[in-house]
Parts: sequence; structure tokens; C-alpha cells
Amino acid sequence: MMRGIHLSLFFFYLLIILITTASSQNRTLWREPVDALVVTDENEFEVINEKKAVYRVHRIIHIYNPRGDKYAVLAISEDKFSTCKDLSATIWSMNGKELKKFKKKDFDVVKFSPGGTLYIEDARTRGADLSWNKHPYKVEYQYEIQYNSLFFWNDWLPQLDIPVLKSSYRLILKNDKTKFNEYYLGDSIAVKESRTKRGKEFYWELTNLEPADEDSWIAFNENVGILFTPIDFILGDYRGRFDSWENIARWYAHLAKDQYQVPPTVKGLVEELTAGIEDDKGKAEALYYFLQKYTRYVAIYLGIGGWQPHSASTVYQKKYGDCKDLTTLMIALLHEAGIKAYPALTPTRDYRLLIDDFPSNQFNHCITCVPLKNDTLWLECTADYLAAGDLPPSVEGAKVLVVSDNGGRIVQTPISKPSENLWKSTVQGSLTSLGALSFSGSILTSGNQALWMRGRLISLKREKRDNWVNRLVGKHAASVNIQYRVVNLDTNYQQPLGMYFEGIANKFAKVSSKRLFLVPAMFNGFSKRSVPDEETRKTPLYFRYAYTDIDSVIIHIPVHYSLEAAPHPQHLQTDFAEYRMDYSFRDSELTYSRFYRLKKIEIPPEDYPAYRTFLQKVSKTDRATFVFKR
Amino acid sequence: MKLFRHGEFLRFFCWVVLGVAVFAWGGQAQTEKFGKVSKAELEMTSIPEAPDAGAVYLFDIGDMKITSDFVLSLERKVRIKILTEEGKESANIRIPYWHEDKIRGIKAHTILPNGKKIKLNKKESFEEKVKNTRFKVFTFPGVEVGSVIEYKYQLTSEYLHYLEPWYFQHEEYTLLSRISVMLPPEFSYTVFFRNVLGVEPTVQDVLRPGRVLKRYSWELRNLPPVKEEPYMRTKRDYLAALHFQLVTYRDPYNYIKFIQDWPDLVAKEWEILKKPLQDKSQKKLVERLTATAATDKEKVQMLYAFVRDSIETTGKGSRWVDKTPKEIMKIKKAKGAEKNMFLVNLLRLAGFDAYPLLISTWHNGLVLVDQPRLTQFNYLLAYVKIGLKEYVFDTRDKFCPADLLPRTDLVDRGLLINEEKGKFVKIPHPRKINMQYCATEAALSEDGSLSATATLRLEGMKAMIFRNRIAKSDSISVFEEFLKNRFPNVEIDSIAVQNFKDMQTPLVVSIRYHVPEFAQVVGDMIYLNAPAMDSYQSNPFKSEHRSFPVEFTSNDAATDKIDITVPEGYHISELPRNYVLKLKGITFLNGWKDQGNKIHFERQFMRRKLVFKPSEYVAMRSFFDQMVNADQGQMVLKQGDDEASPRVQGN
Repeated sequence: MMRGIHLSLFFFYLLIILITTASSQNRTLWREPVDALVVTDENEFEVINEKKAVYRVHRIIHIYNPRGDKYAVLAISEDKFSTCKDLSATIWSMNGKELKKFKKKDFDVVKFSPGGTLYIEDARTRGADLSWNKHPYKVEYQYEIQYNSLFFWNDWLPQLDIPVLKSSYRLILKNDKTKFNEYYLGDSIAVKESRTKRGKEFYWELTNLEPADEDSWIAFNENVGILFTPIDFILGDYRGRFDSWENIARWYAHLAKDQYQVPPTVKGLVEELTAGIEDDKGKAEALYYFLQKYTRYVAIYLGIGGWQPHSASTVYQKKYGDCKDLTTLMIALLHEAGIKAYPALTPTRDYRLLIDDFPSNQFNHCITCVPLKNDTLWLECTADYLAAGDLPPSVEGAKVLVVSDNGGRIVQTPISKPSENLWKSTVQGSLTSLGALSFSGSILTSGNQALWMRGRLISLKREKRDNWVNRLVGKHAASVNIQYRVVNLDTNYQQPLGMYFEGIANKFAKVSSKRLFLVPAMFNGFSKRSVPDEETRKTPLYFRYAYTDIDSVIIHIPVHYSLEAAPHPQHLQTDFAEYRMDYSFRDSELTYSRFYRLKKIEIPPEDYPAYRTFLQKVSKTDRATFVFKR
Repeated sequence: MKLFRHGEFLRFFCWVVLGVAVFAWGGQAQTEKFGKVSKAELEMTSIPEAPDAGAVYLFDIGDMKITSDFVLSLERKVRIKILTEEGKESANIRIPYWHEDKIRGIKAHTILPNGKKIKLNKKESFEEKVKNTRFKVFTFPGVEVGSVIEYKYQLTSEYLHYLEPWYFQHEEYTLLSRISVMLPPEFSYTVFFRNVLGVEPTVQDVLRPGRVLKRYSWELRNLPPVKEEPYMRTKRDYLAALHFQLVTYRDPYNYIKFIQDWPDLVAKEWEILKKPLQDKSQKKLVERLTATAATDKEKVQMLYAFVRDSIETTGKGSRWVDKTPKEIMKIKKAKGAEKNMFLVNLLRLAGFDAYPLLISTWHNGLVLVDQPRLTQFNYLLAYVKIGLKEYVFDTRDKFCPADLLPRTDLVDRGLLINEEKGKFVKIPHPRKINMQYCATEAALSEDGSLSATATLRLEGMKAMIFRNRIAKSDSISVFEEFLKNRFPNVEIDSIAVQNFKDMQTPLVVSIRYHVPEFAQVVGDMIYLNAPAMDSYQSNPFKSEHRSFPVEFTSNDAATDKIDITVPEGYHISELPRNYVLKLKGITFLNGWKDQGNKIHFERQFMRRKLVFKPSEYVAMRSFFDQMVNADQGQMVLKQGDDEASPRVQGN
């Protein structure tokens, strides 16, 4: 009897262990706890003919806790070229009980294009929140999108920020003659080819995909999956062939060829604007500055309008447009002045880096390329406050497709030098024994540093702008009363942007009964937060641009105080950056200087630890307090 | 003719997105004609009242009427002068409207400084939609600095009861704003003003076949924009506005009473809200849930906890309730307002005097009791009376104990909706202080690093906020972020959280951490400030002046008690001075004690006052200035004797 009880208990415990193991596996289908994971991600792209394709998706996602609920939100975009034909979803409990079903009509349709600058398109989003109130649960959904152009051939980007147990992409070509190119991101993936009654099939599959890296400051390119492009396609009334950059350029040139006409009056205007200017560069600059003032950025994408520019004539009349519209008008103006110019298509650096051995549509922006005798002038027509020839960080050093008369070619835009993006400040002041600093000084900026500061000063209205300047100048003070004036704010962009100021910073130095504590790095000091947490990286660290900061401060200290403590002067020199801090204290006058130069915009992972150590030293020195004792 | 509809969203968008405009009037009528812009308007380069303005609303005129077929019509004309490049933003227009209403006859054009007119093409006006709100979107063609832009449209609605409020002010300076109303004599109406002293209307007779109608017009001139300021409840509370409301319709055959006073409104609202309360489907559930309760209060708390915990909150919701109790129990999901209504249902099934209570949440603005309009409210709470005591509940926050309300509910009053006349009920603000108490034992090393053990106790609202954060993330991440805000390079050794689930008790967190380079070490000197958890690095009030009150949702208090052991061989050379700061409703004090090899530090901050008037602002800002100074006070430790020569810090 006892033996029977023991056996029963044994099997009971065994059962408990089995159940526990099974349920814990259920919870953690991944080797470590996760908020959610994709169990199945099936993608199918069926090419029916050169004008029709269907994209089908079937996905099952396990959601383990409220943090994972965001993966239960489904949003599908549609527009004139794509229509969602079939859509359903089900929420399941983990043991397979159906909790809720969604049909297509249960999904909200939103058509809204927010943004400070008006941005209108004919796209709409069909979406629903498929989350449930008890965790864990499963979400399963399937949908089908019909495209009326192969231009929108879906890529396969299976890696997410949660694990994916299995993802597949099935390509079905009803007609063997349909041609396409694929590009493997990272490692190649084995393909299974077969012939079925649906046509020629290609099948790729990946299992147990790790979540994507979460390094900060990385380029946005994915590194697992396949990019696709059709060789031949029809978009609207336009045929395209994407087998080479030359042909992609030809396609865009064809879309734009009839759009460069301007009203007859423009000729006279161009003559007037360029009168007395001898060289093409000077003429191009004059026309660019005219365009900056004359137009504003408004994007209206309807139908093929996302790819075909509006005519220069329309843009001239409306005085607004998106990047390719404004570029088209710019080129038309230049043509009127007898200067050749071309559109240059590019992905902005915050969107992706161009893969130049995979001719395809990778673009989201357009700038103007003006080949001159000895140089090339690049014009960013959407920027209102930029010197002609300067490029904003989003397109500097970017690979662009120049759409020229003979096709096109990929070239790289210039990268600005650290000395061109200069910040130079000088401050002279006098400190009281209560810690208040009376001061005057200036900040001169150029290049991208000026672009950043112009953006702030112009976009903020009076009181907010005053507050911003107060914070900029008086970040170490309890409060600041300051008067300032700015020169070259919305003119003379080739000249440094200057801010001249004077005022009083209350409690600029901290005061104790015997001492004054002063941090003279007024503007550009690195804080503890400037040092990234991650000790190593797998991906390079990217900066928007290289730059130089030069700050000098002269402060008169009350006469009865002597310098008790100060950080050691520094000179740190590396391949990627340079830092110098020096000071002297004579006749109650503290003279402090700081120099920081970021030389490179990309720091490879192997150099990252050295960069971090460098930054720690800089931050420590910048934060250090100068202590004066009575 | 429709009387009611959902949606406060529209009203919000009216002033935020659309902006608004202007008009001339009376003797200047010719200048108001659409397309007829004066030379002075074309030549204007700035206005002295707002020299920095990017654009100025020359006029914004609304002409409202009820047509003979009982349709509400609003014709609006807006004229804007573009003064700067930045002002061109005003040429992007987005007009929101309710999906059942109609906008017709959009006409817009740009008039260049030389007088040339560029019209908006019909095809260049687009429609967008988000749920039940539609937007007409367009941008003016050919705009340049110096241009005058004009647009007009007609909005028609069958919802006579719901008339849009008229906001006279915009995000740019407004020279003239006017709203006119013309009604058939069968209608009577009432008008409410906000932030405007009573403005008498101009009355004009309008001849119509067979009768004379009256047009009433209210206008304001030279209106500066209202700026958003930090710690401001909502900008809308301070905008000059006119709310117009129909009261009755009477003809020989009909008498329709729209709204007259609060009891009328309550009666109408009760007719709608009582329906879900008649649902008895959850009777057994209530019996089961309250079976073990010993007192009425316990019963109420059990039902509150059930709704709060068992029904997932899918959003805040509005004052509208779509789901029945049966549906809510089936899908176990509902919006906050629906959950609260469900609680009212359960409480009534348990035999309590429970009712819905309408409120205007913090950011929706103050309720004006002298203006009976239900559109002032945007949320619904549960109200119950036990004996003589009144209780108010909001079940939407999973970590809100029964005696607290989420911060956005902490407003002055709510409107009780019942079968009688209803009444305004004062929202009980929690008596508890939202205390953050921290006791820290710390040791400083010779290299300036700090090792510490802190016990943090969070009470009231603060506990609720942190419990929510932990639920969304995890305790380690939450308190790591919390500590990093204070000590950016902190390294955390351990974190233990107690009482996470027990909402009746404070949330207690024990943290062991160390901060490399906490103190600055220079030769034989060490300089450091107090490692208090609550510490101000800078004054949150940057502006020198304030136009509107500073408003806080709830009280705030923090206490730190710290013992720091100084490194061996060092002695305390100097401690900062002690501070005692007092202002009405707000106090701060700190104190230092030299205890040989230890420094004892205490800091207390308490703010009980919720509103500081603009006249109190300068003193309050100065108070925070001094507090920042106190928090940045430096201790000085020294090894060996005092020296005169400067020390230089090593690498």
C-alpha cells in the first residue's frame, strides 16, 4: 500500500514537472525571457503579370507580457497602387482557445498626414490593436495586398527586435520570363527552386533569428534578409527597367523630361538675377538664393506624384514643392541661365546607406548637381537657410545617383571637414564673491554648426528663443539676464553666424563661506551622460558631421581669492578626435581655453573602446571645478 | 434635426490646428469682402503690437445661422498677412470637422504684394480622416513674404444642439475676430464668454421674405496670442472664447426645449446613461464578489478592485459609454470611462447609491459652473455615497489604490448625473502627502567614488507612478533610470523592491550602488555635494516673467537623510551653509552636521500649494533659485594641513 502511494506520488510529481517544463517552454520558446516572439512569419509574393502582383502575409506572434503588446498592433498601408483585399486576425489563448476574431471591417482606416510642414499623400493606413488583457496570448493574422505595379516588389526583412523562430519568403512567378534581381543582406540564404502549378517558385527560409542589435548611433541598414527589384515594370503610364543605375536614371529622366518648362517670363527674371555675374558658379548661387526665398517645402504625393516631379512651371507658380519639385525648378532656372544641372537621387543618411552594387529604388530624396568647370556644386533645394554648395548632414557624404544626359552614375557627395563646421566662442567676465558673473562675449559658427544654430534661432519665437539662448549661455547658472544680437541669421550664409551677448549669470559659481566653485566650460563641456553606457559595440558609431569647438574664457576673480584646485591641463590626440584644455591664473584673472575636434564621422567597433576612454577623460576634465579660496 | 453627438476632439482641433482669423465690420465692410484687400494690408510689413510676428490674422469672421430647413450653417472667412519666411507656415490649412457634417465651398487665394491673385485649384484641396473626424487640408499657392492669404468655407450640420465655440485668439496676433449669429425668431439662445468681460452684441435687422430676422455680432480686436507656458493646465483655459447655446424652439405646432440649465442637462444625460445601469446581468457576480465583505466600505472596495484588476483598460475614453456590462464581462476589456460606468452598475446591483460623475480632466480645462454645457466634460468617474460620505473612483489605473485618483482626475469638481437634478460634487484630493523619503548610508573613497545603500520609500501618487513604470518595464530598469537622472555614471549593485503589489502600503526600494568620480579629488582635497535623491540641478522656471498661473496637479514632498563616511585620513574642512526657505505653501530646508569621520545631511522639500498666481511668480522663481544653490552646495574634505598653493588634479 505504502509502495502504491509512493509510486502515485512519484508519478504525480513527474506530471507536475512535465507540466511545469512544458508551460515554461511555452513561456520562453526562446532561450531567455522575451516580451514577445514571432513563431511564424510567412511571406509570399506572387507575380501575376508585369502590372499585377499579390503579396500575402501570415504571421503568428506570441505575446508574453504587456511590454510585448506593441507587437500585437497591425497597420497596413494602402494607396493608389496597392489595395488590401483580404485581412483577418484572431487572438488565441496559449492553449488554442479562440478569444477574439477580427474581420477586415473591424480595422480602422486612417488617412492623416501629420507634420509641421504640410505633407499630403493619397496613402491610408488600415490598422487594429490585436492585444489581449491576459498574458500570455497568441496573435495570428493574414492579409493580402494587390499591387498594380511590380515597382512595389516587397523585400524580405525578417529580423526584428524580438526573436523570430521561423520566417520564409516564397516568390511565385506565373510567367517564367519575369526577371528580377535580389540582393542578400549579410550572408547568402539558400534558395529552393521548384515548379508548381502556380508557376516557378523560389523559397527562402530562416529559423531562430536573433533580435537585431540595439546599438545606438548606428546606420539604418538591415543586415539580414533579401532586397528585391523587378527588372521591368510599369508604374502609371511609365515603363522602367531596373537592371543598371544607368537605366534607373533613364527612367527618372523620362518621368521628369517634360517637367522642366517654365513660363516665358522666367527668362527675364533669370537674366535679372544673374546680371553682372560672370561665372557659372556665381550665377548658380544667385539662382539658388532666389529659390530659397521664393519657395517653401510642401509635399503633395498623389498617384505617381511620389516619383514624378511636378512641372517647374507649376512649382514656379505655386511657390511650393517637395525635394524633387524644387530640384526641377532649380534645374529649369539654371538651364535658362545656360548652366547644365541634373537631379541627383539619394537615400538620406538617416534613412539608409545606398547599396551601390544593387541597382534598385533605394531613394527618398533628391538634390541638384551642377557640374562646373573645376568643381561640382551641390544644391539642397529644400533647405531655406544654407549656403549654396553646402549640404546638410543628412546628405553629406551620401552616395547619389546623378541623372545626367547619358544615363546616370553613382557619385559620393562631399564630406565637410571638421574645420568647416566651426564653433568659436570668447567670453570675458568678472565674478563677484556671491558667484554672479557679469560677462560679454560672442559665439561664431559656420558650416553645420551654423545650420544647427540658425535652425534653433529662426524656428523659435521670441520668448522661447530668449529662453533657449539663456540656457545656452547660462547652463551653469541659476538664472541669467542677457541681451544678445545675431548677425547673418537669414542672410550671408557664407559668413559665420554671429551671436554677440552681454549679461549677468546669477550663481554662476557656487559659493561657500570660504570658497568659490567654478566650471569655466560654459558651452561645450561633455557631461557624464555624454559617455555612452555600452562598453563595446558590434556596429560602427556614426556622427552626423565632423566639427571643431574652440572656446576661450577670461574671468576676473575677486582679488582676495586664490586658486586652490584645478584640473590638470590636457592634450589628448587620437585618430578620431583631439582635445586640449589649458588655463592660467595670474593677477586674479583665470584664462581658460578648450579645443575639441571630432575628426571622423565613423568610428569602427574596434576603435570604440579607445573612443569611449577618450571621452571619459574629456568629460572628467570638462566637468572639473576650479576652486578658489579666500 | 439631430440633438446630440459624440466628440470633443473637434473642438480641440479648432484652435490648435485651424488657427483662426479676422474681419472688419460696420463702416469698414468693403474691406471684408472676399478678395478685396486694401492697399494698406498689402503694404503692411509688421505690426507694432507684435513686431516679431511671422503672420497676423487681419480678420476671422464667422457667420452662423439656422436655415429654414433646420440646418446649422457657419460661413467663415479668414484673412492672414504673411510677414516673414517663418510666417509662411500659416499658409498650410487643416480644417477639422465632424464626419456627419459637411464642408462646402472652400475658396482660397493668395494676393501677392503687387495685387496679383493666385487662386487655389479645387483639386488641390484634400480630405483626411481619423476615426469620426474629417479634415479639409490645403496649402495656399504662390505665397511669398508680404502676401495676404484668404480663405472661406461653409460648414453645415444637422446637430443644432452642438454649436462650435468661437475662439477669438490664435497662435498669431489677431487684429479682429467676430462671430455673428442669425436665428429664426422661433429659436432662443444663450451666450457664454470666457476670458472676456461681457461684450455687448451689435444687433442688425435682416430682411427675409415675410419677416425680419436679427443678426447678433460679437467682435474683439487686437488680440495677442496666448503662449503655452510650462506648468500650465491648458492654454484653452486662457483663450478668449464665446460659447453659444440654443435654448428653445417654438412655433405654432412645436415646442422643443434644448438646454436651459444644469438640471435639464442632467436629466437628458441620465436618459442616456441610465440604460447600462438597468442591466442586471452581473447580479450573481456581485453577490459572489462581495460574499465575504464585512462592511459596506469593504464591499465597495472589493468591487472597485475587481473592475480595476480584471478588466483591461484600453484607453482613457471620453464621457461616452459604448459597451454594456455584459459585453465588458465577455471581452474583459474596456475604456476607463466604460469601466467606471461598469463599476457604477455593479455598485447599484450591490444596493449602493452609485452614479456616474462627469469631469473635465486636468488638460481639458476648468469647468465653468455658470455655463451649463455638457461639452465641458470629457470623462466619467464612478460616484458612490455610503451613509453621509461620498467617494469617487476611477478604475482605469491598475495601480491606483481606492483612496487615490490618477493625477489627471484631480480637478475641482464633477457633475453628478442622477435621476434628480444632479449636483456638483467636489473631487476629493488625497490628503496623503506624495512623499519620497530616502535614507542613505554612504562611504566616500579617496579616489572620489561613492558607495551607498539607500532605502527609498515612495508614497501616494509617487508610488502609483512608479508601480506603473515598473509594470511597463521592470524594477531594475526603472530605478536604474531614476538613479541615472541623479548620478549619470552610477553603477547599480542591487535593487530590491518591496510592496509592489500591496497598493495600500508605500513602495519601498532598497538600492546598493556606487558612483565613480562622484567627488572631485585634487591633491589632498576632495570636493563633493550631497548625494540626495531629490536635488535640483537647475531652476525649472526659466522665464523671468509669467502671464498665467503656475498650476500643479498634486502636492509634492521629498526628504533625504544621509550619512557619509569620509575617507580615512581626511577631515572635514568646510561644510556648506544650512538653508531654511519658506514661501506660502512651499518650504525647503537642509542642514549639515560634522560628526568627525561622518557627515550627516538632511534635506526636506514640501509643496502643498497647487496654484501660484503670476504675481507670486517672481518670488517662487527666486525660491527655486535659492534651492538650486542649496542643492549644489559643496563639502570640502582635506588630508593634512591647509596649503596656499593651488593643487592640480591628476589624469
